[in-house]
Amino acid sequence: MKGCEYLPKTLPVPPYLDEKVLGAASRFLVRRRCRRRIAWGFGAAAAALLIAGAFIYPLQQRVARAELAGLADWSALDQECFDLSSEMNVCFPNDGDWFL
Amino acid sequence: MEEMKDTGGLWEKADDIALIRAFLGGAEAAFEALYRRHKGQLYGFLIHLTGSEAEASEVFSETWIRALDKLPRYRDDGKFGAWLLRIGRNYYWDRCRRRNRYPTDSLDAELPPAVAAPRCEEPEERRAADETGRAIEAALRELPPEQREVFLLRQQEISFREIATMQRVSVNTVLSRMQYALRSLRKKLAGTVGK
Repeated sequence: MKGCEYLPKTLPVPPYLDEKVLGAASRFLVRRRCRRRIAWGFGAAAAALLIAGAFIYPLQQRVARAELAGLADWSALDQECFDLSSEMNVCFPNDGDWFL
Repeated sequence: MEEMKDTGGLWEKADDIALIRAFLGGAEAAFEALYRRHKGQLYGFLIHLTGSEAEASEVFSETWIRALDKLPRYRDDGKFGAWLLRIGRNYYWDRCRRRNRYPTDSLDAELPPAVAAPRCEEPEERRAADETGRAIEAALRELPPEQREVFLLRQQEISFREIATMQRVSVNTVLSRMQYALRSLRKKLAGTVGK
């Protein structure tokens, strides 16, 4: 026997360490999934806000301009909002106020 | 159940990087296969490095926990085992530094478990092997930590270049540490090994 053969390269690991490490791996996966879901949730919310903002803001601007000029054509605006709401389900007319 | 066994078999055949990717994708069984493949090597290395089963166990579990955190950033170079050993030895030396004492101080307190050769031998021969193993362990513990580490890492077939990277020294320094380690071990074990 050579000297190095007396020092085995691998040694058996006690079962309680297996449990500890595999438990940590399991928790790691759960945490990772949670983080991903939270990130997706934030991402989706941000995207929804951006899209909604992109449609609603120009409409509000038009209403404001029309009101200022005293030339509000409510029937046309109602129709525009109806089209938008049927597409996106985000805006509803309420006596000239626009809200989500 | 049969399906689970088949999947387990598949994981056993997959290489390390495939297992890591599968685990990060959510396959817990892939990590189990990876763990089974490397746990013995890491534990053997830590037992010899620390000289204490309790300390090795703590460092072992912490190494895996740290490895889990670093796994998403692991860059495949085909040496996951060496990467794991590096995390383990870094953590061990950090612990030693934190405790602000030399790691060999506590080594006499607890002897590592029997590390006799695993092959079957006659009782008489086995007893001699146990004694020799203990003599080698004792001689190893007397080596300066950096020499002991080089010796143990070489035993795990880690290249001198990689050891140099781990220890942040030149390859020549590592080579001379190995030379000193071997010379000291030969001197201390003269007449014990190979009787």
